[in-house]
Amino acid sequence: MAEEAEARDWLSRVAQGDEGALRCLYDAYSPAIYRFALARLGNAADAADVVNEVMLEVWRGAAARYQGDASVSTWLHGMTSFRIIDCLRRRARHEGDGDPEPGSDRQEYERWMEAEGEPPGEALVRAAEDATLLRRCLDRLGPLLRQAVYLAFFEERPYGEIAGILQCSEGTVKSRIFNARRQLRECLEGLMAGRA
Amino acid sequence: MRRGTVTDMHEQGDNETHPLEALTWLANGTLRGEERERVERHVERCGRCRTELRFLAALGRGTRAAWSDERPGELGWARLRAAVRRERRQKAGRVPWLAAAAVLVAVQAGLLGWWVHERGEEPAYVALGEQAGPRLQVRFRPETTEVQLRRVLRDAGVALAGGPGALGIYEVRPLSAEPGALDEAARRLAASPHVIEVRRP
Repeated sequence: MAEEAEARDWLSRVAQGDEGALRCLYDAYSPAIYRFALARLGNAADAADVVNEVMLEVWRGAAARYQGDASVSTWLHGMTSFRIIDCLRRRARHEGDGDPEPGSDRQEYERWMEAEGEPPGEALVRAAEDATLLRRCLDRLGPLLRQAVYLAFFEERPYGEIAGILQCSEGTVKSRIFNARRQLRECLEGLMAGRA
Repeated sequence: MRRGTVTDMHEQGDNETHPLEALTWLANGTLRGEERERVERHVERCGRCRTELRFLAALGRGTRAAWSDERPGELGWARLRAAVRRERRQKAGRVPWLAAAAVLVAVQAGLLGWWVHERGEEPAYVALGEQAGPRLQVRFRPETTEVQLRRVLRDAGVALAGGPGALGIYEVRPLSAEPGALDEAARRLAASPHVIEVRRP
């Protein structure tokens, strides 16, 4: 991603109709917002549509309305979040369908840790680093959890910022991450044991 | 074995619980300030949390490796650029048309006022669609003069009933109440070189 000052300069130039600045913005941010959309939508064509819609929205006037309260990246992710929801509505798959919010997060996780016995061993750590194995497990996560994992682990954002982007509470973000951690670990262990 | 507190596993004598929630944010480097110091202090003396932290750091590396190749591709920019240029063309095409329409509306409104004044009538501002009876909507060419407009209306056997509206559309009504008068007026108006469009509201 770009330096913040540079990105803000591109935005102000886009607001004046500079197509070159739009290209710079696109090159810098489209991979991130594409992956963010893909994590939630699970479909490359839909994710590409969302990127196109967000960038067009920036071109059509959103750039001129940028207030500078959040970083350009966070602002773009926030817009993407809304476009993702629009996309889900178009697909008549309302948020949460087939991907229920996790329940009693902390207690559930603690119970799981207690029942689990051993802490993650070397083999599990290696499996988590294996892109092929992990990708299979990421693909099995529910969209809401996968999206939270993307923002926390890939983009390394703080939970407060993730909550802002996803328009949910910080507690919900933490809850999603808890559940994702648990499911990823179970999935990796299953793959290692040849169960999955 | 119970895993709820540090004291269950380690030599520390406090009852501090595992900062399970915070480990993700310590692993991704976004934990700050006092909370970070507290969690780091705990991790230093808690083998369980150190192992969990290594697992989370590995998840981060694995996630980046798994998703780093996912990109919208060059076609994505081509698509966006095409949409941007299409919008630019449409915008450029709209400006002269709107300017022309605005001029037409202004000129024709002035002409109408003058015409009404010449006929000694009080100006009546009638919104399109308000007046009852058979009517037609007419759009004149922008270059149509007041004299030409009057002649067209007279030749078609109609009187102004309203307008012009925002798009320069006038509403007219036939002077005759005879059956077929509206059709005949529409035919005559449509035949005029000064008229762009005639339609029934």
